Amino acid sequence: MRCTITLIHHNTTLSISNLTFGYKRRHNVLADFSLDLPAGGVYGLLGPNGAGKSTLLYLIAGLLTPTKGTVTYNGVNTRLRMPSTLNDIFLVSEEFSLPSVTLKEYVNLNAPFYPRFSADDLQKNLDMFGLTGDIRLNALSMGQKKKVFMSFALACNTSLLLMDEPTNGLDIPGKSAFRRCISSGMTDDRTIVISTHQVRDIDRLLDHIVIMNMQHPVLNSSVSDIQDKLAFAVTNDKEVIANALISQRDINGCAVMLPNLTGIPTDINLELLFNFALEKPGELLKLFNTTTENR
Amino acid sequence: MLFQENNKAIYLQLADAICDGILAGDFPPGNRIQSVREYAASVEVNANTVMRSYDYLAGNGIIFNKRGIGYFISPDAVEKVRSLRRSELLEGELKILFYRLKLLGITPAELSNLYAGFCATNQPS
Amino acid sequence: MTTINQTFSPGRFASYMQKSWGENRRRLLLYAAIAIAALVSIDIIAVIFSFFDARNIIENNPDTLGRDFIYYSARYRSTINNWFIFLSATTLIIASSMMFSRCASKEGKLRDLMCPASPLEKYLTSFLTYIIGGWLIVGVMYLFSYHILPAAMDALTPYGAFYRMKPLIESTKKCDGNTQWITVIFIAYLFLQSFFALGSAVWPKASYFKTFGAGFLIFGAMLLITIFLVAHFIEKYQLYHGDCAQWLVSAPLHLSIAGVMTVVNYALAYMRYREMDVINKW
Repeated sequence: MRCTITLIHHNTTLSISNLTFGYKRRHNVLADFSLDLPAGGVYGLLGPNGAGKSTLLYLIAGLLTPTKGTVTYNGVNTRLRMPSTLNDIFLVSEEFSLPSVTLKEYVNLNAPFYPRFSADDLQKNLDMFGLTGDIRLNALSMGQKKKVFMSFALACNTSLLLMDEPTNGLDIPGKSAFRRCISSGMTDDRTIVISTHQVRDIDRLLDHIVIMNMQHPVLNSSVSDIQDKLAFAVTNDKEVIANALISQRDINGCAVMLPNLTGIPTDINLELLFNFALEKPGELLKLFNTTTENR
Repeated sequence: MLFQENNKAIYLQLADAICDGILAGDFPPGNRIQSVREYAASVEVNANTVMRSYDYLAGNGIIFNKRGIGYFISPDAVEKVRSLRRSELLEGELKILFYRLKLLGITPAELSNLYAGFCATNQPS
Repeated sequence: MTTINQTFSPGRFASYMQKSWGENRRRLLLYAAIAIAALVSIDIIAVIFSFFDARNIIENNPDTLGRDFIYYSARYRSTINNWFIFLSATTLIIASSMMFSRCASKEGKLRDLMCPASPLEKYLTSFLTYIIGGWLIVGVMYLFSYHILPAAMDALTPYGAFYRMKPLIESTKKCDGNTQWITVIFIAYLFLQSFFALGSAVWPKASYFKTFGAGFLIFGAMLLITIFLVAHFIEKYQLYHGDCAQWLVSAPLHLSIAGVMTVVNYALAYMRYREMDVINKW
């Protein structure tokens, strides 16, 4: 046992280096996975089922021990589970439990661990979700519990917020409230990582998009870079469709994705981008001039 | 807020919405508009996207930023919006239309007559 | 910049204890109440039967008050002693099996591991709650069985002398020259507690049963090894003669080993807890 005194400095980059991890001996969920996420912004983490999105979030939070490689946040290895790291990270996992106390008690017992917790922010978030009064936590439905948990998570004002399928289980007003909470909760030194399948629920919120598949990241790019390099449109022009990188029949015509030759930014069709990333990862990487951090 | 399916980048669609409001008189010159954060929350969009939108409008002189206070509608916002829309139309839609007209063999004289006829019977609202 | 201690901070430790007890207040009080209620019920049943025994003797045979009275009151006392020893052992073992029960589910582990306190603070809180807490409950049981109940019976019936309990330490004999059985039982309790605490850290889910099973297997193995050693070496080296034999079977040696093993178990439990992941690969 070591007694460690740590100086807290704000070097907020999330650095995932050469991470290898698997639940079973023969099968690695992540292999030599590297990713650097500079501070500030909302990252969307997309990938097919079983690609290891939840596993990656657990590894980032220090909840799993990598077979090889490290995850560093604020310059500290997250697996060490230092209190100074943990009080700056909050994980809203898909499965979670709340104790059978009232909301006031829950806040009194848990907020002291988070130095930047704000009761005002909590109230604002609860208002956005339409939750009022002092609530008995175990009397809530699953969706309501999620709203409370997310409100608390955002109010802790940790500089790293990890969310695994946050809109799962939320009703339609809840999804809208969620977007508003994230929009108003974003700051320059806050990093929010949202892992999801429900891209339509959150695509307007994202600054960066990370797509992972087959143990590696396939794409790690800002939305504006994607808009610079790729163009998205809905068209009936056969020639355009034939030359598109990927296309998909839509109600109004055919949704296409092409290299951006005009320089005009268009609204990203995340489904097309995602499917292309999965079908032709090599081409996508070529388009994005990969750096040494990505494979 | 429903975003239109014409594939314009969101920040441009947001800028369009503000310009529409300026032309309609909803945002009188000199008035303060919502902060980046407030507007982002109300349309449920990333704050950086709104920031890009405001930068775009400020770059075209439609709004200006008073540091520490917020964003305000420029005194000549209405003219600026019209001139921006004018150049967008001329550079964009009009070029596409001209291309099609040429393909169909419609002469400039024909076009001029049709447009004059249109202006005589339809007053812009 | 601020400096904070990552291994132990009194303020954070206090906050964690408050959180742990605040969130589990009802559950903990319920378990404590169940344990004490079990003991109280059994004691009261013992009292009821003994009461009728006592009354029978005294009212039917006032002359034979001496011998039968002593016999039946001894039986009452040994009933209470036996049940107390059994229930206190059970309470201590079950309590220490619950030391990491919050980590039995994935959600529980997520909550526990993500809480911004150090593993030492979390471990010490569990130790206080379940290990020390177990002894507190046993203390209440002792108070009830050996002081409150006898005093109540003394006040309620004319047979006070029948129910007076001697302190446990006096009512147990010495097992060898210098060691009381009570000491052996006490050290055995401490060891068992630590063993089940380690079991709880290794298997937070269904801890009691798995640890019991493991203990059974380990004990069985040790028994077989001992039999083997005795069969092959005692004869050969004539270890059954003199001081060597005395030393090998002496209580202080075994008690010291048990004591060391207790501390080792707790240290291993701490180390295992630190290695706990939200989904364990093994």
